[in-house]
Amino acid sequence: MTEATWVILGLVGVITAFLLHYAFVTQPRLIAQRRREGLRVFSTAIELRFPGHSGTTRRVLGLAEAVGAELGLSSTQKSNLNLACQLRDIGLCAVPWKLINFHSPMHWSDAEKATYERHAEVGAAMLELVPSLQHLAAIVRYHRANFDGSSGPTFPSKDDLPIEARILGTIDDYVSGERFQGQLLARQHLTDEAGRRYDPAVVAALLRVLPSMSAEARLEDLDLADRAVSSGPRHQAGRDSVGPPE
Amino acid sequence: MLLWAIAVAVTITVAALSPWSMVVKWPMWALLVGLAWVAEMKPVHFQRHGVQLSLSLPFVAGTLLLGGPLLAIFTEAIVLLLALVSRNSIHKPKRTWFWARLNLPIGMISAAVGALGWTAQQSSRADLPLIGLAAYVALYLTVNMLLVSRLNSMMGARSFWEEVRRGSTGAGLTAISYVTFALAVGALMVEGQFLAVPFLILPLMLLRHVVARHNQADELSYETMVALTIMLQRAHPYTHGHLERVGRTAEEVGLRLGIPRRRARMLREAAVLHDIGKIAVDEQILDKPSKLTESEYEHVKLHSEFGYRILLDSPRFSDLAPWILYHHERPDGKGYPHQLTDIEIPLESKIIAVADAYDAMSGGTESSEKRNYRPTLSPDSAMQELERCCGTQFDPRVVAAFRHVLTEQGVLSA
Repeated sequence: MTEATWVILGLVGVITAFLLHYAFVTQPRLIAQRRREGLRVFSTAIELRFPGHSGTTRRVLGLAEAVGAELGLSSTQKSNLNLACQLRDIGLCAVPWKLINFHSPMHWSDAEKATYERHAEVGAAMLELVPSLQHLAAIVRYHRANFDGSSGPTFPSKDDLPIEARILGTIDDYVSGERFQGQLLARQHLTDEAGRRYDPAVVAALLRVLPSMSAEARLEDLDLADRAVSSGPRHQAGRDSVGPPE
Repeated sequence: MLLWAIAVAVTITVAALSPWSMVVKWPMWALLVGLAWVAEMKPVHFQRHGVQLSLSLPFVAGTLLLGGPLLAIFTEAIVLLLALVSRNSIHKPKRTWFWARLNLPIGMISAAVGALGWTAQQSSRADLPLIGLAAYVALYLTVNMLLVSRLNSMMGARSFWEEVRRGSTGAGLTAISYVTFALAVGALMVEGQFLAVPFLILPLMLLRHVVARHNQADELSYETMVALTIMLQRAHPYTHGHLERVGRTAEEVGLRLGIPRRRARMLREAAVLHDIGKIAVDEQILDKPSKLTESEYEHVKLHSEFGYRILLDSPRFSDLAPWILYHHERPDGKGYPHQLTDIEIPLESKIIAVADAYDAMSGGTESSEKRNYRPTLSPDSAMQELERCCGTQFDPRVVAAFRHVLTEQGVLSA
């Protein structure tokens, strides 16, 4: 073969190497980053619609990342879980505004509960309309499903219940429980319902990561509290007794 | 039809200029056609443009070495036909015909111009076929890009040069890869290593993958916009037509008022998303047929600020968030949320306000699109209403431009 042929084949090799690098290293990172930035829009919209929900997405994201790592998910699964965390409640835009902002969930009638529970299906149907988010539809659709299929949305078989949906459902319930009932009761609820409502493996993983994740969250809270203290007078008697007398 | 005429004319020119060589190694030709067909089977779809990136070029270029320019043009046509027929299922003959009518002459013209380059090179130095090959590929790509841009600009809103600019961004790497791959095909054929040629399909597929993914990344922000409007429609049943119409008219009014094209396109997006904040507003109040109470009205007023806060979170849309924040401000300072005065309100917000008000008054053309609590006006009386509120609620300059646009579209009786 002549020299020219070798040069050309070498060039083909260089271009191939470059394309490989670009396709499997640079590009996925670029797309994932853009997507994450774009999707913040949706959780903001839902949090503005229902101010009671605000702030939960950050906690859910943090816990989901930790549990995903604990369970050894693949990187695709992890990124899907991350995206689904931000999109899990977009179906709430079809739930009446008054139902969530003016009525406490404690006093919902069965019909109202059913209306609320429909948001998972609605969200999934919306995602199916968007080509690049279609693959998240199943996660969102089943994130309110019971692990043993006893109630809630039904799914054909256990294999059709994606692991991401199981993780998301567990964490979602835990975070709102933590918010309204406190950590102890929320943990208790997790262990009580493991195997029925939740996947036992996911519950075990969540309970394993919780101490460190809660410590971080508490530190952040304390940090905020300290800043509040330094910028203004204290109001809470409980905190006063811990701090130095004024 | 003009395209077909050009295609035939250029082909005849090539036939007249180039020598006829009838000694073709047909098995080799069949191999190249097969490879080109495989490469063409899965084209990259540029979703919103309807353009396809063809990957058969390096293999088709290889046929130049076998049978000269005419064979290359013939092969191009055959491969395109094969791919079109096998790609679009038999159930959609109409679609196949549509694509064939456009793609076939475009492919043939590109190939013929490329072949002219080859002939010109060969007439001076016939012993350097690889340079002719490179000339063919380069000319093919250039002509193809220009033709496709022309077609796109005819079908879409963008101008020809803008399409050219869009088409050529990132084209550098693609072009270099194409030329190199074509040279590799040629070099291997000159050496007689025909069995090595099929391996070149692997880097080509990789290139396809990269371009497709790149394209997909561009689509993401568009899809975010679509998903947001879907959300808005679930929260508060808008007609899709309303948002689309407001977007389109806003862009045209913007262009007429001298806003640069890029910004006008952002304005279109902003106009489609202008009520996105209503996701966070009680839909019962929005749909209330009777007059709103003071507190209900205060609640509805929040929507422009909500929209601003939602879009501020996305790097892509944060530039247009302020326009949405101020789309209910009025030149007389009685708008909301910040009671800005005339010179403080962005022009884009004023345009959105006019387009939205007009569409709300005239309503959709179909009865289902009409808002049930307000009688719809004819285009003429809606326009008169806009002009009545000139200076207080709307900017006179914008309303005047709006009238021009509507007259041009033939909506108003001039």
